[in-house]
Amino acid sequence: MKWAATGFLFVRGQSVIHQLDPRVRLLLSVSLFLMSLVVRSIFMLSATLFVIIATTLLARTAKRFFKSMSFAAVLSAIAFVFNFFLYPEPFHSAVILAVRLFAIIGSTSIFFLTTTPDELELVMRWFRFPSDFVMVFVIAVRFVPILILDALQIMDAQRSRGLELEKGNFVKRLRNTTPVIVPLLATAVSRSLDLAEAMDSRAYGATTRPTSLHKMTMKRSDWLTTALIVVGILIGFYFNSFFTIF
Amino acid sequence: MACISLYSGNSRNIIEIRGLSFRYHGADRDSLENVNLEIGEREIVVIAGHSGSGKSTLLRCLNGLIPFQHSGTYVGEVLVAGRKVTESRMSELAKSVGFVFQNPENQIFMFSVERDIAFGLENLGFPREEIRRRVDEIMDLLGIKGLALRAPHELSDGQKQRVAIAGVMVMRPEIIVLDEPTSLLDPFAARELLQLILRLRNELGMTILIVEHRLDLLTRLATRLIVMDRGRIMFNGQPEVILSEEGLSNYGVLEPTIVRLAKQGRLRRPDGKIPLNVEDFLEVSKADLLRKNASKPIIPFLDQHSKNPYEPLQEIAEESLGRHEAAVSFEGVDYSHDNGVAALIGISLDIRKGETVAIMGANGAGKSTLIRHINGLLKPTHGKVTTLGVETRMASVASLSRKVGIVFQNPNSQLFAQTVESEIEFALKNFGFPPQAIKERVEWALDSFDLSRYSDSSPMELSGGERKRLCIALVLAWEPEIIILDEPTVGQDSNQKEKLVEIIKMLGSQNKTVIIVSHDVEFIWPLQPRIVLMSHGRIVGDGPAQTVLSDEDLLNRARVVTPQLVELSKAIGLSRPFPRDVKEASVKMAETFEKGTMRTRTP
Ligand SMILES: Nc1ncnc2c1ncn2[C@@H]1O[C@H](COP(=O)(O)OP(=O)(O)O)[C@@H](O)[C@H]1O
Ligand SMILES: [Mg+2]
Repeated sequence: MKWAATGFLFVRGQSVIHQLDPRVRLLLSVSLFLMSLVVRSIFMLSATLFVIIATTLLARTAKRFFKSMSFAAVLSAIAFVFNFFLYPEPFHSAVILAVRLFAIIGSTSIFFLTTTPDELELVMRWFRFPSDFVMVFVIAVRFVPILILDALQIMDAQRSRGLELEKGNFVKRLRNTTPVIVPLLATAVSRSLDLAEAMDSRAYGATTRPTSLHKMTMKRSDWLTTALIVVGILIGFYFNSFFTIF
Repeated sequence: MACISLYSGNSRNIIEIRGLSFRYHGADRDSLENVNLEIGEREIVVIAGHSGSGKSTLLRCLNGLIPFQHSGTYVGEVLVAGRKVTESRMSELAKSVGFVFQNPENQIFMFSVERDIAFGLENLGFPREEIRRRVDEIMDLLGIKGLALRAPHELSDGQKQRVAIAGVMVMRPEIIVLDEPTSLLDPFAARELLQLILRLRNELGMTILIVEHRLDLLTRLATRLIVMDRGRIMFNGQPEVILSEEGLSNYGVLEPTIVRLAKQGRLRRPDGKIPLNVEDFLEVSKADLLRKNASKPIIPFLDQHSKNPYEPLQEIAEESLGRHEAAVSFEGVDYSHDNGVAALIGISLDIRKGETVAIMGANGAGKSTLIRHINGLLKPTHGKVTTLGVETRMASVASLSRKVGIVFQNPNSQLFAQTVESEIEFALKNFGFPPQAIKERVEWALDSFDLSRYSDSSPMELSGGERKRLCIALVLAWEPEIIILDEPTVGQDSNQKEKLVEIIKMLGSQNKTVIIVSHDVEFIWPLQPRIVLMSHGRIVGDGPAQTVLSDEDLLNRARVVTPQLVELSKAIGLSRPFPRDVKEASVKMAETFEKGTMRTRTP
């Protein structure tokens, strides 16, 4: 369970991808996502997947990427088995579906693996999301790992009181979670009360248009990358009309 | 940074509170009762008192959290920097009053230190360049520039509190209020934080109000000490005047050791006040000695109404220890977290049955990881841990826990039941005690820990101290052979600490193995247990308290503070063994005086 907490702890990367403006990264992610969704042929899908993997290598997040993608791989495998054996589809369409699923998850993870919550917040503000909404989002992401650690603490405490979480039938196990859930909720509520006080004490809500220390600026490299992405998309669609199956 | 103060002269009050009473919505009594208070500019005000005495409530009235966030019945008026709180907006008040809270985790919202520091200015709509300038300035001032891009989880608790301070300082308030800012820090980090606060005050000259239990560092510089009790201000004045009063401990005030020692010896400065530093103290004790010698040859310093309580400390003989069986043994234990960070490195440790051991070290030294190995919550990456003859890899947590009771630091992370009674029953049922035994043991636990009247109440209705007692009671109810207390004093006031000492002594006398994990040297010192000192995942010291806790170099390296009594004994030239408590200290001083070896001047 601890991995779940560390998975949410963001590391500030140094690669060329990280240096791109987060909006460009979002564009890249979304384009690859759409690509994975619409291309029809195995060839095009492989090409898309290739770009996705190349990007992760470039972002030096390959390790974390493959860690999170192992889950996607299992999902894809299940999808394949399901489609090919249980719900007879031709072999190639079952393969396409599985690879497509893999690529879709991969493309979204590019953005989320390279973007810190800070940047995500800036992007959200750029899209004119309401301020309160952005703040709720920020706090939620910030406190997920903290709450997971709280939960681990609580489980330690209750296991030390003889609670055996893994024992018994389904109903018993469900009941066994009460000693964990109740303190967890209590802790979460007390944390949120603290937070509310701390935010109000720092002039939260003073203006409806708060400013920001950091500003997103499109550098020349960002514009160039954007241009590249657009060209890539055009080429992709162009070829997509040629290759229908393979 | 320019001087923050907007007013000149000291005559002007920056805070004025007149006839203030407040009752939280739905509460059955007032949390503040007719409070009157005037605080001048640039004062350093220390507020003390039991938990629940209204300290936080008072502070909340200064920046408008009361009445704007907490509704209730509000009578009287509060003026801050000339503005009436009830007629201001919270965001306006935030500019005048910076508020630093107790829990470092719950006051940092953003993902980088600099963004978090900027939060207040962003909310106020300051232009970007101005924010940048001020954030850099404040980071420089607090020495946290190197942390600018760190995420909160990459900071220690002490660093988090510094960021929190920076986050309010950046708005350049005239007043900073801090509500127990150090109570979740280890004493070493706490000392650093308090020193930082004092330095900032000297450089920038703002007014400071701080709720703090560690008075030893602050009293010398504080202009005022306020003691609260049940919503009222009981004492309000210069620290040396207030600390001269008797019976302060009844109000939950932890007097500095030097004050307690002076009171024990009935020492006062010529002006009638209590000495607060070693120089003054030596001066007055020398005068006291001369005076007493001139009149009649009695032993100075010894409280004549008390018998001589001083017996030489018993050093535990090596061979007598050797005869006991091992309760816990670690053999070459390494432990690494999933992410590869080594939390324990080469731990070898034997704890014998009936021993009382304190595992000490700064926060993050690996203490909690160590004790989680004893009941198998964690299994060693290398090496082995044997608890009462069972290797922990071979047994379930539940079966080990039957013999090993851990009282975790935070009561809120385990209390879940509807009633106090069923909370105690929980473990007993898990361990399969028969119903009759359960009934008896619950009764015993409720009785011995003074909780009977709450048996049918929800644990949530108990005070912080009572919850802690409940957590100890519910562990002792199943009679484990080894009892582990994880940071028992964190968040506890002086009353509660005294009760804890009694409990630990009782367990020791019942020949239980007691392992206390703590960074609180003042709490541990009088118990004189064996000390296992940890630092960065290793054991760096192991031996009697007298040896380990007086080795200043070692303690400094492990980021643990020296007990006040040891420091004081060294300063006034007392020889080993160092006194356990104030009573012993004064007897020892008397003896040393007689021999004429007392140092009369500090180096
Ligand atoms: N948010 C709240 N709602 C209701 N009652 C509260 C609240 N905060 C504190 N109290 C009550 O007010 C009294 C004073 O509490 P507090 O100001 O927190 O004391 P202290 O800070 O000295 O520990 C206590 O009886 C407490 O139960
Ligand atoms: Mg308080």
